Amino acid sequence: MFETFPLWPQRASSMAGNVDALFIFLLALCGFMCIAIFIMILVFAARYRRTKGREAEQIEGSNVLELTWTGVPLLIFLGIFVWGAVIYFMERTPPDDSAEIYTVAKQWMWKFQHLEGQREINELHVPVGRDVKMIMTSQDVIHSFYVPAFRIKQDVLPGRYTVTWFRATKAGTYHLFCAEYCGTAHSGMIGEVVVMEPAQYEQWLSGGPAAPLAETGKQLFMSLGCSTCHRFDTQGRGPNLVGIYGKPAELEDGRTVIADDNYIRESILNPHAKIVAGFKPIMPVFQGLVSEEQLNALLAYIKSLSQPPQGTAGTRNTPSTSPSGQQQMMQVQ
Amino acid sequence: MATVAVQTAERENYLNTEYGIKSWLLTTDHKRIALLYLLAITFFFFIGGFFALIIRLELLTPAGDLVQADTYNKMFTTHGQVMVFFFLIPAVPAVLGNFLIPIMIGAKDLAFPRINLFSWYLLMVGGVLMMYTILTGGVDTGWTFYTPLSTAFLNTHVVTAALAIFIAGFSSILTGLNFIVTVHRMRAPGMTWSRLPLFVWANYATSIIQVLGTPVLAISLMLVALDRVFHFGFFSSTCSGSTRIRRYTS
Repeated sequence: MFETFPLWPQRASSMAGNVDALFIFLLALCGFMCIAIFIMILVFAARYRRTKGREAEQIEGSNVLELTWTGVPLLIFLGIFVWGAVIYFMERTPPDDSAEIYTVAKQWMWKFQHLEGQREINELHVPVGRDVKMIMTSQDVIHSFYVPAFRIKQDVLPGRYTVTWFRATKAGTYHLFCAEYCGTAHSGMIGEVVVMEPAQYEQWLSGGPAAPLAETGKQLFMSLGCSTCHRFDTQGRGPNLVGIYGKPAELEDGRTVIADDNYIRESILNPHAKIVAGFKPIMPVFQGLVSEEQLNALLAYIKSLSQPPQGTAGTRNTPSTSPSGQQQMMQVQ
Repeated sequence: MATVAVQTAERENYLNTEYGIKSWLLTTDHKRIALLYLLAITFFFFIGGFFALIIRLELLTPAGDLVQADTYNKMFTTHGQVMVFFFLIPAVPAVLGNFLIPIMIGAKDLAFPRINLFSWYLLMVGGVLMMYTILTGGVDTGWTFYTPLSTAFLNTHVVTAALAIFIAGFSSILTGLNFIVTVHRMRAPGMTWSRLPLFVWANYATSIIQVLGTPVLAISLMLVALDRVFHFGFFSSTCSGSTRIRRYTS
């Protein structure tokens, strides 16, 4: 009902209703309390005004009353906290089968890489009704990915990946802002999210001659010489990367870490930070040698070695994730 | 003769006990120090307010027709830093707290009157450094000094601004410490904890936050300054640092 309210921002994601409900509840609660307090001030001022012959009485207090006005607000605040936390975790936990889009923020633009190979600057095309996971990093300072119509805002940090997700519910064009002050032209770091019907999106995807991101990553993997040590058997001087993504990795110092996006990123840029058990720290450091976009391609490729093809409504499959892709790699060895 | 009689009958108070600038600048009276703080924060309120005025005038139209983008960034940064660190933080604790806490708990003064005056001087040193920063070109990091923007991507006077706030931070720490000791040790007989006025409780809680929180803020700002000068890489993701440390400590 609030969507028709003139000042209400557009609502175009599956999460927007949840955020709005909490916001409306907080607004209503604060409004109610504000009005109630002002009415009480007026009532008390009138009722307890100075009157001739009336003496003030000493009030000794009431434990029941004090416990009530302490306990009830506490419960309300805890309820708001739990409600907010649930929404927060929903926004931070992408569904498993989400389509992935890599994002690199820089002063002062947004760069997007689709798994299918399309690249965009300051414009992001997504299909309606598809869960989309944004894997984001910054190549300079802190930025923040903010799409008001989707009610999502996620900081984008240099040196690591942060993740957010959305499912667009309505075709249209929506504002994209940087919501973290990032230098001189911060206010110009804006863009558009173009939400398309799945058929249109398919058409848009097939519009350009782009190699899938994982395929680009595979080429890089070979040209950088990674494949020399990371072989697809047990003879390599580095760990076999097939099937490692998302799985625990035992380290030389006895710790166990999950091989997620940030772990893989760190292992490429600063491989000596965490050495996998049974291997020597011989891998060269790639910090400064690969760009953020290349890093994303490498990550997409390594992930593709661990999962079956991801293809759902509105998006094409990613070809290099096929077992035949792995076969080709083994032949290269 | 009648006038002389009235003057001699006037009770001595903190305003008329001594006269002259020296008597104010060297005073250890908590009420006089409160007024010194009031003067200082009023000055900084107008400085911060001036920058707010420029920001709002610029925002009258969407185009950047009053100031350029980089000047605008300096304006809102300076507005934030002056208002937060030189007006907002000292306003209630240092002015009202100094004036009212001893009166409310029945103490003659704060526990450490000289440290109280020293705190005001620290704020002044920080304030002078802040004014120097403004007059020599300003700073455009945003009031939060988020890294690595503030450490590696801007060429404005970040170091002096960080030092100004670092020094002003110690004013808050010492004032907080003074209040805590005063509330603990100098309450009048019969002024039990449950009888403390709500204002004193609020100031006591604020003082604890100041003593615990401000050193972290101050040290992280010092790290920003050191990072800029010596390139230690505390906040650089390429030097095993973390951009998030500054955010967590602000």
